[in-house]
Amino acid sequence: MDNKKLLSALYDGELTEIEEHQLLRQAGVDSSRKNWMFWQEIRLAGKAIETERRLSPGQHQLLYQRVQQAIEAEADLDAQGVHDYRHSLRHNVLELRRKVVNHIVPLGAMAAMLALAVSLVNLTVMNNSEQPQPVVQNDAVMEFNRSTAAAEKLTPAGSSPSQGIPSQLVTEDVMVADAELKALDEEGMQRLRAYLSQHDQMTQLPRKSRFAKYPGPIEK
Amino acid sequence: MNSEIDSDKRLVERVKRGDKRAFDVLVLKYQHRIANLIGRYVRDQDEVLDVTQEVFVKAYRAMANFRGDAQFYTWLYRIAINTAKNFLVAKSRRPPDTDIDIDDGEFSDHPVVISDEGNPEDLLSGEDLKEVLQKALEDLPEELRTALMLREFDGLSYGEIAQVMECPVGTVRSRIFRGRESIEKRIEEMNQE
Repeated sequence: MDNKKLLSALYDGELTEIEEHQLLRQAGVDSSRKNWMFWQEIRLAGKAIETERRLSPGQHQLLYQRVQQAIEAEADLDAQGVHDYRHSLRHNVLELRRKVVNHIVPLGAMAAMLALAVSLVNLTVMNNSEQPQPVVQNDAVMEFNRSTAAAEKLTPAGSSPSQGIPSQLVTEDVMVADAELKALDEEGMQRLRAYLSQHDQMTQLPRKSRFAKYPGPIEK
Repeated sequence: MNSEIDSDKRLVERVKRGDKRAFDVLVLKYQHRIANLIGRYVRDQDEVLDVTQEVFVKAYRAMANFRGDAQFYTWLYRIAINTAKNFLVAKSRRPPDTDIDIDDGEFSDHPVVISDEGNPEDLLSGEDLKEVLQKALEDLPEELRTALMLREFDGLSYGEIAQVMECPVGTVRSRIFRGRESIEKRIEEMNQE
């Protein structure tokens, strides 16, 4: 069976060289003679049938004219292509605009707000380092700053860093970060803790009042 | 063959750029083959004209989507076969195998092309063989018949048939072999009657 299948492919010239070698070695030519001749007859008979079914030259002429007229009536492929391209371009522009509105504009706004906030914080820090007076004169902030300053004055030198800050301002986050502050000297740690506590407190305040005051050197 | 393929590619590109005359050339080049192909599915010659025209119009409309991965004529053959099948379905006809009356004498006045030399002892006479072959071909399952006819009548290679039928080359080899086996068996049965 398998040899016969290979023979069928050989008849069509579709065997690989290896298959051809294998077939000839195993089966030989004699055993396939009958099949081969039969297929030849079938091919000839098939072609005869095919010839009889063919359209006449007149029918082919008519067919060509009909196809030609039908194609003439069709839209020009190039014009269609330009139309499709324009449609596609318009669609892409609208899609891009939608993406910009939905994604890029909010991201841009957020980035701008972030940049503004960072620059304001920097400005505040710089101002505080140059002049110790509070920048914002909001009542709540001023009250907070006064209490912080009072606490700083009460803190004795060499006392525990957390003791210099009102206990309500010492948050767990600051305590957890204690190990990270060891690189600073005593005074630096105290100032940083005061700043961080102040920052935590600020987040509780109304938006326009969120300005942290970085405390100046502690008076000794 | 390669120059023919290259020529088709150039014509297809011209058609895509809006040159309808290039498509006319492709019609002239392939209309005989496509009409013959359609004629194996559709017996009425007026319908063959209609379906063949439809094939070329479909091909023209789809030309913008033709990427050139396959050769143009295998792509066209695929459109032709699908269009012929759809035509038969739309007409709610049974396949032509059951429409054909082998006793209608349509081919009786045509010469029979059967070689005399080396004629196998058990083969039918030429005219009988032709009739039996026609019936046997039409009784074949669709896939076997299409593969065998593309090979025998259109001379397509197995690779080209695989492109037209969208199947592996090994499947084409099997289908052609099974088609031949089936016809051989059928003719042997007829010979014994």
